[in-house]
Amino acid sequence: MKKLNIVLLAVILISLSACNGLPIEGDFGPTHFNLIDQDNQSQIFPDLIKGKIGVVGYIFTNCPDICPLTTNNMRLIQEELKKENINDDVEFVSISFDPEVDSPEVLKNFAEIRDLDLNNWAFLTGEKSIIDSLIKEAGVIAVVGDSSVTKEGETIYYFIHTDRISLIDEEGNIRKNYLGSRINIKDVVADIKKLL
Amino acid sequence: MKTKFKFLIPLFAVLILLGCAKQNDEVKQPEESTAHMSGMMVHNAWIRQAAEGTTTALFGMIMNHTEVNDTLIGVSSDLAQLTEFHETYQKEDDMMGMRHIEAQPIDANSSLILKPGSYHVMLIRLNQDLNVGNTKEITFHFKHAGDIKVEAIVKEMNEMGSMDHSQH
Repeated sequence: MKKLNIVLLAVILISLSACNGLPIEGDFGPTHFNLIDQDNQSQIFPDLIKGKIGVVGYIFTNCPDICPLTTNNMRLIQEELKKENINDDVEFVSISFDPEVDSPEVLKNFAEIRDLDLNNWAFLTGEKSIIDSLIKEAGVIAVVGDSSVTKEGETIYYFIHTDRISLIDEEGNIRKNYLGSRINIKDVVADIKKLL
Repeated sequence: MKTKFKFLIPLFAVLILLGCAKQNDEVKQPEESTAHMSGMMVHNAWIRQAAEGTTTALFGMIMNHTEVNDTLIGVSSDLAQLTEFHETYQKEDDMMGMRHIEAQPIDANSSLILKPGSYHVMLIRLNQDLNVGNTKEITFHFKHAGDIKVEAIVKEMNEMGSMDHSQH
């Protein structure tokens, strides 16, 4: 009987979450990921989002094409939210899956050259094993593909990676995944409103 | 009357021929001039803003207005430690990758669009910050057309081009 109640409760919760057209697609598991932001401050993911709606992108800064598009799309979402006066209810997070290159300083430069508003936006990096666990939970794949060697002999790797922005609810559940570089800004803003 | 004006016939003929020749010259000159100026061109070149030490991309359109099939064999610049021609590609539904292209054919009377999510010039390990509004020089090296210097403006990215990789 107790088991039946739990199943019923689960069914009700899933049904309720699906009412807004945004069923729970996943979560980040029970782990709290200890990471570092662009200001060298410790951050725990996804805890830093909780109580807010999260817009999470996955990037590496040596990416010249897709990741800047993803980042720019997040900026455009933020600008739309400001117009709608709901920006304070949302937290933006960009997670680097190339932590060996993307130090806090590199991430800070990446954000500053784009003049991003970091009041509710964190760029996260950390230990590679932690990052790998995190992106696995998120369903993001990032594997080393092509590379270039500079005159100084430095090898720069380029990742074949999932092109993704995730929408996270106040409880840390993944409610929707979008193609990060080809997102429709108005659709995302509409989805955020459904979760508020 | 007939004999009086008979000499006018060859005169008119000469004038008509001279007129035609002049007209041909007028048509030909601009053609030659246009061919010289626009044989191989890179239009609307722009670079995405980026910080020193990072990597960014240049976009635009390569136009081969000649009757000769040509090949882009390299790109160079003082802006970065390394400058390469690359292509972004879609591996699966939501997987994106990028590959280095050593030589890219540009057929006669065709163009190649360099755009986000497709072909682009990689500027790897920038030697300087590239801020919006800056203008920077980059050189394209073609097998037949030789070196073409291009002024590119630094911009921010506001919208995504389509993922179409077609050559026009």
